[in-house]
Amino acid sequence: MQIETSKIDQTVVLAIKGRMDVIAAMEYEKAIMACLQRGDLKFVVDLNALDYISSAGLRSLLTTAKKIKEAKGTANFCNVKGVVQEVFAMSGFDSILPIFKSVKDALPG
Amino acid sequence: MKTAPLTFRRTSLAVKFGLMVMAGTSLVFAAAFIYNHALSRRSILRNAEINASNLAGATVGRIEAVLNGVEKIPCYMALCLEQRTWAREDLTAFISNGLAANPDIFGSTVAFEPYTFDPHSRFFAPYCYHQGTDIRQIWLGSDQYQYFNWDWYILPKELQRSVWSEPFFDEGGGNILMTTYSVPFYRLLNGQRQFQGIVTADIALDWLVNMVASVSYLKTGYAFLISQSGVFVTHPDKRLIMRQSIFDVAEGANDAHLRQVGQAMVHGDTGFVRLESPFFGKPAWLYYAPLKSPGWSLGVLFPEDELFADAQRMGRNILLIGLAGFVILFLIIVLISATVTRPIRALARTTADIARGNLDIKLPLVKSHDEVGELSFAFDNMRVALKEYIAGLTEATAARERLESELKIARTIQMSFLPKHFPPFPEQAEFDLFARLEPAKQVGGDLYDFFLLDDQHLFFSIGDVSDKGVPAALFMAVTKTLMKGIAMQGGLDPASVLEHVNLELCKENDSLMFVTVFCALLNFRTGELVYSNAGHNPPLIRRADGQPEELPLPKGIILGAIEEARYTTASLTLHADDMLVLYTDGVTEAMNPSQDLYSLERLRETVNGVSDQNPKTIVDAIFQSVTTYAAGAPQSDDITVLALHYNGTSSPIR
Repeated sequence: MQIETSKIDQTVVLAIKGRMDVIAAMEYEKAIMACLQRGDLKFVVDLNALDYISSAGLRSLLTTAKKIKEAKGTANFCNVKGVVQEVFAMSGFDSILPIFKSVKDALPG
Repeated sequence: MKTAPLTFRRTSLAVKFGLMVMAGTSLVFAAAFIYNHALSRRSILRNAEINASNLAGATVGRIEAVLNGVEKIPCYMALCLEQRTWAREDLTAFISNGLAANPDIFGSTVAFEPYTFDPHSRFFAPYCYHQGTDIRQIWLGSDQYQYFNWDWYILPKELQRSVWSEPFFDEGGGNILMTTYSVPFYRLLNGQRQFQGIVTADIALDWLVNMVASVSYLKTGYAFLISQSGVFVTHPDKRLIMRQSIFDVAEGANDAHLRQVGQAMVHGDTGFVRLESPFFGKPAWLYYAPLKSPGWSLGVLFPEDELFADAQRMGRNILLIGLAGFVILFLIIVLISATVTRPIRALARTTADIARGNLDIKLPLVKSHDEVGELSFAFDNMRVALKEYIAGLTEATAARERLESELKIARTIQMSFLPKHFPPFPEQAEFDLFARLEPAKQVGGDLYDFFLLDDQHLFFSIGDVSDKGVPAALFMAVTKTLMKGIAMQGGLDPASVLEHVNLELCKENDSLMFVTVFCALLNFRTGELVYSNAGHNPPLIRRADGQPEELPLPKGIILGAIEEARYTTASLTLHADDMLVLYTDGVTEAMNPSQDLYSLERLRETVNGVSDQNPKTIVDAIFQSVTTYAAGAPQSDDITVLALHYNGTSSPIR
């Protein structure tokens, strides 16, 4: 898995590529926590290039989303499709995470 | 901590440094000393040669002056004898007068050829000599003493020139050492020079002995005189005089060199040589020069040690002064070095303390900004760094121990909540069930559970808490207890159970922990399976006649995330020999050393590869496969598998 981080205005855009298994999940959590500690509060997670997500990956998405929410920030997700969308649907993630069609749509306010 | 004994024998830096400097200085000093010694030796030798030469020259000059004076008398007498015919009385008076005028001459004669002065007389040789203050006269010549056969007469006659005789003891005339100067005289007869006789002058050599004996050089150096044939004329050792020649001495000592030197002296050479000869007892130097007229040779001999005594004394003094200087220099160097190395020694003592573990010790303050100062500074830095490092290490060790004990607690909590007796319901022939949980080192919070609700319903579940350690273990315990408590109330389908559990978990879930759960209710009388899922991995179902497949699951979010979560129920019917395999992602995400995941595909293959219908066999096969795949790589998550084999309603009791 690779995480490409870029910034549009005040929003951190994380593009996740490849497979999000238990190791990748830990890296993802670390990346988000590092951003939070720097003071970033607005996040867009681009799942366009995510091929697979394990339950550990799902957990880390939820955990980080909750952490961001606690910090009064926003975490929007976009480009959920294919296998990932199936997993999201099965686990009900699509009903608890704010999901958008594109990065542009996901950018807050 | 064990340290090497610090009491080993050592040479202090100061002494070592001192010795090194001394070694270097000694080399330079030795070279200078040897050079100076050789140079002064050569110069001393040259001076000695010059001095000896002067001394010998002066002595030779004095002797020759006397001898030349002596020579003149017989020469004059010969001249007078040649010019006229002498009467007997005139002749004796003439001799007597000549003697009186020359006190150096002991005696003198005019010896004629037989029958020349007096045709009737065979012998005619009046001899006058000093006797005290008187002058006496005797007549030489008798049948016993036929003077014209003696060397002093024959040699000048035959050689037709004046001759100095070899020295001899005149036994007749007072037993004194004498030598004779003989001058031939002639007369013109018929136009021809005809030999008439010999005029002689005897001189006593005691004055010569005394003169040569008075020559001294250095302390024990002396002069000696040898004759034409090498016989000692004068020598401090009186026994040698007239008895031995230099060649006898050389022969006696078997000394070829001394013989050569003797030959050179007899030959009339001048020279300066070193003699090893035992003749002198120790190495000595000899200067020799000839006395031209009598053909003798004067030797000045002096021992080498006396010659170089001054130089040796000076050398010894220089050595002593040098030695004293060295000692002083050494002490100074040691003192300076000790001063320079004092901080180092202090440092060494302190470091020894540090090595023993005393990291709070203060290093000696070194104010100098030199290497020692730097060293001390570096040591202090090291001490501080060591102290911090050890403190950090102690803390880390304590933390790790704490963590390990926590993990042990967590594992104990987790394992104590799991049912572990298999087969769990031996009286129920309709199904067999086996489960196994292998906790990761950092306890992942996996759970499984099964219990009978009544005589036809089995409730079973598997779950995975999204955290590690004690919190996960506690969360797992809470989830399992809640689920069992709610399910045991009866009348609730799995979806309702999940909703109730979720609601309870969401209350006060500040720790943001979630749990995925798959739970099912099996009517083992009918084979009807009702199940619901909260974000857990789909279990595998292997139909009696088919491949393992993932169980189609209804949507359902993980427990503990949001209170409003709703769960739905799905159902299917199990037939005889159908196998259900529930697992956590610790199985599919088990890693090998190169961090590749075990994967669902491998799990499918493993399940497919076991034909045995015993659930324990299939669970063990999965664990075996995973362990083999992991090849010793540590696992980050718990590994849990629960397998259920449905025997069918009408299967015989096992």
